[in-house]
Amino acid sequence: MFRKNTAGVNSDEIRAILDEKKAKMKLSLKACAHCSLCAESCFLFMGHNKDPKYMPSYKFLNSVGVLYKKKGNVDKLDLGEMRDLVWERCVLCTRCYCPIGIDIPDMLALARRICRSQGVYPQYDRE
Amino acid sequence: MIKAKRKPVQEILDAIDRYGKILNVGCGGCVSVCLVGGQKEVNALNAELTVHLKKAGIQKQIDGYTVERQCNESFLQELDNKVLAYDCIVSMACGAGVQHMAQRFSKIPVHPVVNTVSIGVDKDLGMYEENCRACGHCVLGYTGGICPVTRCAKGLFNGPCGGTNEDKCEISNEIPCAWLDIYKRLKAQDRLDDILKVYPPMEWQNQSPGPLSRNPMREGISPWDRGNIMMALSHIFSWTFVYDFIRGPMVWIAFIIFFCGVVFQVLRFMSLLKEQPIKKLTPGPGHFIYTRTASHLPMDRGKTGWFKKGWFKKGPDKKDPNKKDWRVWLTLSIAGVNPFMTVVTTIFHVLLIGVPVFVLGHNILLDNAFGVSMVSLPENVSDFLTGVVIFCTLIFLFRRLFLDRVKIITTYADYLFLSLAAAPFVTGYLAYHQVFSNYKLLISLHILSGELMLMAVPFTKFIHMIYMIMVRFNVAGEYSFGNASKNW
Repeated sequence: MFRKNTAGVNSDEIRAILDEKKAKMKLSLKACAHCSLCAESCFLFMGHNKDPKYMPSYKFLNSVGVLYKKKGNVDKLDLGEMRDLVWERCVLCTRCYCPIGIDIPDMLALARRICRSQGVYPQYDRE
Repeated sequence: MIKAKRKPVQEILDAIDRYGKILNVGCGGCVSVCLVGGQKEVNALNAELTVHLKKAGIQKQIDGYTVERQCNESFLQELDNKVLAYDCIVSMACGAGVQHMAQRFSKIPVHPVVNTVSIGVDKDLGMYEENCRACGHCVLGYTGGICPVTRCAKGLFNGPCGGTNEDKCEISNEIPCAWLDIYKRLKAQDRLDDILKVYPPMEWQNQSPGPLSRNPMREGISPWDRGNIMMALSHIFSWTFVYDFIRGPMVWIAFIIFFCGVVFQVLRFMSLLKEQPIKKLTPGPGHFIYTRTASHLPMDRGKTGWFKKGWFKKGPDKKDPNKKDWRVWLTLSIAGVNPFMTVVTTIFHVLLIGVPVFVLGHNILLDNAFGVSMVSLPENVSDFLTGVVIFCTLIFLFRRLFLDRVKIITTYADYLFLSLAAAPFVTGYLAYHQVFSNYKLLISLHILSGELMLMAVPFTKFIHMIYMIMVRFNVAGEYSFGNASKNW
C-alpha cells in the first residue's frame, strides 16, 4: 500500500503549532464563504493576470486549511508545495480584504511558521 | 528593501560572552532577502558560533528561531513563551527589528548581529546599491528619479557643487556625479526647468534628534412505521404527526438552538478577543501616524461614533484633509473594485433576513400565536423580493459553476449551503403560487428548510453571519467598522 513519505517531518511539532491557534483558525476556515471577493485586494493576483491561484482565499485554504484537515500529517512534498504557495505567491503585505473580516495574513503567517519549523523556507540565493 | 551586513564573528562572540543560553532570532523580511538574517543564516551563524565556542572550550546553548518579521508585533507574539528560557537574545533583523524585540522582551538583553546599512536595490546576488536614506521629504519627481540626498556625496539639494570632476564626484573617480546624472536625465525628458526650482534647505529630520513628524497628523419524532421507510415523500409529510411536529415543537427547537448557538458563539468570540494593547498612540518624536490606513487606531476612540469620523463628510473641499472622503473611500473599497457583486451580495443578505421577518404569512402566524406582529410588506412586494433572493442565489450558483476563481475554491459543502439558503425561498415561492397541487408538502419543506437553516447558522459555514459582525465591528484593522478596539 502507498505510504506517505513523512521522513524529516515532525507531525507532532506541527500539531502543537496548529493547536496553539486552533480556535481562531478553525473559526476562520469555517467562516470563509468561498466567495472570492478577496481576489482583487491581492496585488499579486492583479499582477498575474488574475490567476485564481493567487487569490488570498485559495492560498490559505490550500495551506492552513490543508494542515488542519490533515491534522499536521503532511510530508515534505506537501510542505514544498505549501512553501511555493505561501512565499512565492504571497509577500505578506497584509493588505488583503475579506468582507467577513477573516484575518488572512495571520493564516498565511501560520503556514509559513509551520513550514519554517520543518526547515522548509525560501532560498533567496538559489532562486 | 533594507540591506544589512553580518557583524564579524568576534564581535558577536564578545556580545554573548556572559550569557549561557542564547536564542538567535532571524527575520523573514528584508534581511532574509539580502541573505543576512533569514532562517538559513540563523542556522549558519549558530553553526559558526558553535565551532568557535568549541574551539575555545566554552559551553553554551545556542538555539535558533525565525519569525516572519521582527518589525511587527503580531509576529513576535509566537516568541512570548519561548524567550523565557534564555538569558540573551541575538537578533538578525534590521535596527528596527532589534529595537522592537528589545521593547517587547524588555527583561532580556537583545544584541544585534547584523549592521543595518541602507535601503537599496538588488543589483546582483549580494550586490546592493543604496538608493534611499529615508530623509522624509522625497524630491525624486523633480530630480529625474535620481536621489541627490543619497547619491550626492554632499547630499546637495539644489544643484551640484563646484567639485564635479569631469562627470565624476570629486571624492572619487569611481562615483558618478549625481547632479550631472540628474541633469542628463531631465534633459533627455525635456524638463530641465525642474532643475531650476529651488527647494528650501533640507532639515535633515532623520539625522537630528528632533521630532520625526513635523506635522503630526491627528487623527474598527417519530411515528416511524417500521418497514415503510420507502414510502413516497409526500405521503410521509401528509402524516399529521410529522406535519404538526414541524410546525410546532420543531420551530421552538430551531429557535432555541439558533439563539443558544448564537449566544455561545458570541461569548466564544469575546473570549478569543482582547482589548488592543496599544493604549494611546500619540504622535510625537519618533512616532508618526499614517492616518490613511490608521482610521482604526484608538486615537479618538470613545469620543465619536464611526459615522462621525468623517466617513460621510460632504466634499473634499470642506473636510479635514486627514479625514476620509467617503467617495474616495467607496471607490477604493470593495464597492469600487467589484460593484456588481457588492450590490448583489448586499441585496441578498439584507433580503435574506428582511423578507422572512416582514412577510405577511409569518406575521399572521406570530399574531395567532402571541397576539403580536411586525409590520408586514404587501404580498406582491414580498413576492417580488423573494424572486429577487432566488435570482441572487442563481447568480451565486452561476459564479460557482462557471467562474474560475470561485470554482477553484468551491467544495460540495458550498452547493449544499447555497441550496439550504435558497430552499426556504424557493419552497415559499412555489407554495405561494401553488405551482404544485401538494401544498402541504411544499409548506412542510418550506418550514423544515427554514428550521434547518436557523439551526445551522451558529455551527456551520453560515457562521460567517456572526463572524462578520463580531470581527469587523470589534477587531481593529484596516477595514474595521466603528471604534473597533480589540484584537485576537
